Amino acid sequence: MTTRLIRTLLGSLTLAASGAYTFVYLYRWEWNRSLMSAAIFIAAEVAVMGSLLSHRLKVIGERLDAPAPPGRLDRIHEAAPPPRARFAWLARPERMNVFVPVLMGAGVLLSGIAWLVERVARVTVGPVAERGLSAQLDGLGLPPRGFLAAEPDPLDLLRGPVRGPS
Amino acid sequence: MKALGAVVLVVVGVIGVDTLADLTQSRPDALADDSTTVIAFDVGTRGYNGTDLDAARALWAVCAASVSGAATGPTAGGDGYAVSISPAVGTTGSKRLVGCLEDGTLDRVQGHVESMTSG
Repeated sequence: MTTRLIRTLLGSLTLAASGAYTFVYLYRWEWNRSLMSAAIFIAAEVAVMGSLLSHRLKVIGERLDAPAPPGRLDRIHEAAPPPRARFAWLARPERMNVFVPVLMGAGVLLSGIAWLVERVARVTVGPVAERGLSAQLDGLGLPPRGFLAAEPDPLDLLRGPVRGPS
Repeated sequence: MKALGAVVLVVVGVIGVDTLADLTQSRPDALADDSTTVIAFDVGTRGYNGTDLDAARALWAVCAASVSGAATGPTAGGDGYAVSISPAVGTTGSKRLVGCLEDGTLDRVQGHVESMTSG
């Protein structure tokens, strides 16, 4: 306690003196001294703030580490609501005869729907997919009359010199 | 109550900043051509590489720029050194000059103004 009091007094005195002398030196046009006094003020401010924060953290830590008063935890436990059973119908094994048929029925229903979707897809997707594949492979096919007997193209005049019949 | 405190704080702050600005603001002084200021100052040194006269000359060389006017010196006399400035320096010029001489302007040299007379 005494150490903290001395620390607070020293910090306050340093803050007050350095802050006051910063302005006194400014008034006297002594810039170097004013700058040094301001630097001391900032250093003292950081030290005082660090000390205050450290003390506050220590108080908070002690408050968190303190054990609860006797009897308080017991009263909290007594006042707590009874635990609720989320799936009460699963808690009793003798009632599983309801759960299993429902689960099996849902599985059969979902399997039937999946089978139906698969059948419809098989019937409809085949022709469309084959036509699309044929259109994509069309660019890779050979010319209808081969490479040597290509059809005359009017744009050939733009691609090279005119050749006479040989 | 909080609003009143805030108003008082703002008023005190504005007045304080304005006063400080007035006290530290440099203004042109009215100079009389036939006037002279004689400033006597002393120097203290610690580990300075030279004599006290060298220190006084170096300090004056730095601080002479803070005032206008032609200066002669510093010359040794009495317990320190004297500089004569013509025309005389004004109020703000005196503040600037004394502040420069007594500030930590030069390393290892500390000036102290003994007197400043204008006439």
